[in-house]
Amino acid sequence: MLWYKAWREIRWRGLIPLAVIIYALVQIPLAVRANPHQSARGPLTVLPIFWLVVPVMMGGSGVKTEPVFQPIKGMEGSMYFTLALPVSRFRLLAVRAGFGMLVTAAILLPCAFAAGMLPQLSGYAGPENGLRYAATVLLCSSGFFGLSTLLSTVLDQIWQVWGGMAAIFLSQWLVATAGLPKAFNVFQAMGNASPLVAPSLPWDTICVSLGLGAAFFLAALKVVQMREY
Amino acid sequence: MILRLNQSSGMPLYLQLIEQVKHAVETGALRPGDQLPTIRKLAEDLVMNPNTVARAYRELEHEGTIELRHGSGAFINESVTSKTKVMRKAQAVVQSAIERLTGSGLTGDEIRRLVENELAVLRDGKKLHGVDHE
Amino acid sequence: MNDFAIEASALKRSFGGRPALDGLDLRVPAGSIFGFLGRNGAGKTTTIKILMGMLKADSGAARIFGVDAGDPARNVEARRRIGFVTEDKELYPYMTVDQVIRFTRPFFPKWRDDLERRYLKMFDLPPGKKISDLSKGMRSKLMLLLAICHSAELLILDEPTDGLDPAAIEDVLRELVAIAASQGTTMFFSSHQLTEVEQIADNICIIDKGRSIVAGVLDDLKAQYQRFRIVLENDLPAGIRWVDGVENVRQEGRTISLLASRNADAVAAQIGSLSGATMERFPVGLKEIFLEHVRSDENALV
Repeated sequence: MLWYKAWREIRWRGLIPLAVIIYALVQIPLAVRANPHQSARGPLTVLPIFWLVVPVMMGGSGVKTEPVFQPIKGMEGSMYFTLALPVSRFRLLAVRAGFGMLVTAAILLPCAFAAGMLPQLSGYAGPENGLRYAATVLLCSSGFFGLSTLLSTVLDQIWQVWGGMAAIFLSQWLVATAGLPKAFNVFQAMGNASPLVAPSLPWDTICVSLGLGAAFFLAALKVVQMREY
Repeated sequence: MILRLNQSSGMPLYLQLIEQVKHAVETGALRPGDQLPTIRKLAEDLVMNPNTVARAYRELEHEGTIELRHGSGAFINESVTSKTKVMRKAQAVVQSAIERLTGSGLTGDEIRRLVENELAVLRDGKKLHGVDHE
Repeated sequence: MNDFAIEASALKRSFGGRPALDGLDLRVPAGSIFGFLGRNGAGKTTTIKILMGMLKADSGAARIFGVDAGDPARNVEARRRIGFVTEDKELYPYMTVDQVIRFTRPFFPKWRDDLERRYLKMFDLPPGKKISDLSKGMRSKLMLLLAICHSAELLILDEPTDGLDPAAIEDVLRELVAIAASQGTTMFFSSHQLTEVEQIADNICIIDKGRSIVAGVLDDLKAQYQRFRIVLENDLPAGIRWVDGVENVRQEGRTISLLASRNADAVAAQIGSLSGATMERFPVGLKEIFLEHVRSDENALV
């Protein structure tokens, strides 16, 4: 039943990014039609931000953020009921995070595939292109997913989302100014260095993302064990 | 059993229960051999703590008023003599004593203190003679 | 095998420099119904959270079923044996009554379907109604159902009758007593309602400013506490040292009101030795004991 609970608490969080992404995807062909001479580079630099919104929203699985939205003031007390159940905190976090990952994949894979198939972005390359792009987007977003999970263990819902968004822009800024190694550049990996443009998958960024994601997730687990409510 | 307990009074509940059982025996409402409700049933009916009921029953058994039979429940001891007749006579004695004392100008509280004092002396006297009822 | 379902010794916990618990001792005998009383902010909910592993104590020990309450490896198993009603009675607003029950049930192998049916009917809980549409009283009843139905050995209840009308309260108290009688369940409940505590608790503890100030078997405490009303002809001897057990002495004009927490006979003897003093003794109920210990009084001489 924990899975059902995770699903119920995540529903609205999934629809919003989905709506935003669909809007963005629809915009691309329209924009390109309006400016036929503009190359695919424009949309490709911006698109990663939309992808990253998904893990940021989905990563909120720390116990502090239940229930998902609090339409009635003062309803955050249900976490005491949850914490009183004979379930380890590890399992509470793991189930919600697991579900978050499923939803993230469910949104990112089809959307990124669809983006990969847009002729304006990739030319008329075949479906493996779309698949490779989808896989890249999903794997490279794991770093932010882990970070959002960690943030959600210490911040309330709204702040966790803002924190995640801030992290996106912060990392973009760091990339631009501080010159992080290329492996850390998630935006390029999802944008101009992605399989839509480059011949192969950006394995170095994928590895870094997975590593960071795992590290953040372990930290989140540790925090949840130690936390007081 | 029809009992009236006052939870917010200062008198311990188990003592109240004991008093009421004894009173029932004295007035003949309960007779030797009669069965009392089980601890569980009494606790549920009166909405009171079963441990408190158990304590009262234990005390009543210790004093010889009731007998706890394993598996069957609690019964008024066969050897308990009904004091109804004696009680009625005693009531008349006390009534006339009170009338005489108030006639001499004593208040109710003064009379009560005199009685308690004498009872205490009686109790302490029993202690001196090695009978411990505490 | 432990005689105490709950044990706490010298428990201390501060929040930002302000002490919420300041050396609390607690011993809840197995099979007892234990009333935990105190003013708002005295430390009741902090104590309960420490017992449930939601907070850690700064120092001191807290054990449930003999196991350290803060031990994450073992307290999951402990929670399987504990039924808990939270202070806020908050559940998942998007679930219905029926869904919450179906959500909770699988965690507890000893779930009693018969009790579930009984309480759904007795408490008049509509299975299809959303939690967010329930009144506070209904949520209290639902939480009680969830706590009782899994055959817990220990019930920890934070203001369990909050929001209930007197008839419902009587129903709840009767069910708790029936369960205590038939299953020997230990019950630890915090409450503001002294009358409820007096009705079903056999042991109590009064907590004030983070420490236990009165604890013991309720009936014994009532037997030990006595109120004395003294009328004086002369003044009290200056610097009189009262015998052990005198808690509060208040004087207004020629009347002194004195509370003894024990040694009532010695206190009576001491008063009797004062010249020109007449004395009356009264039994003391829980409300009086509570108010005397947690209220400050400008007229107090002791």
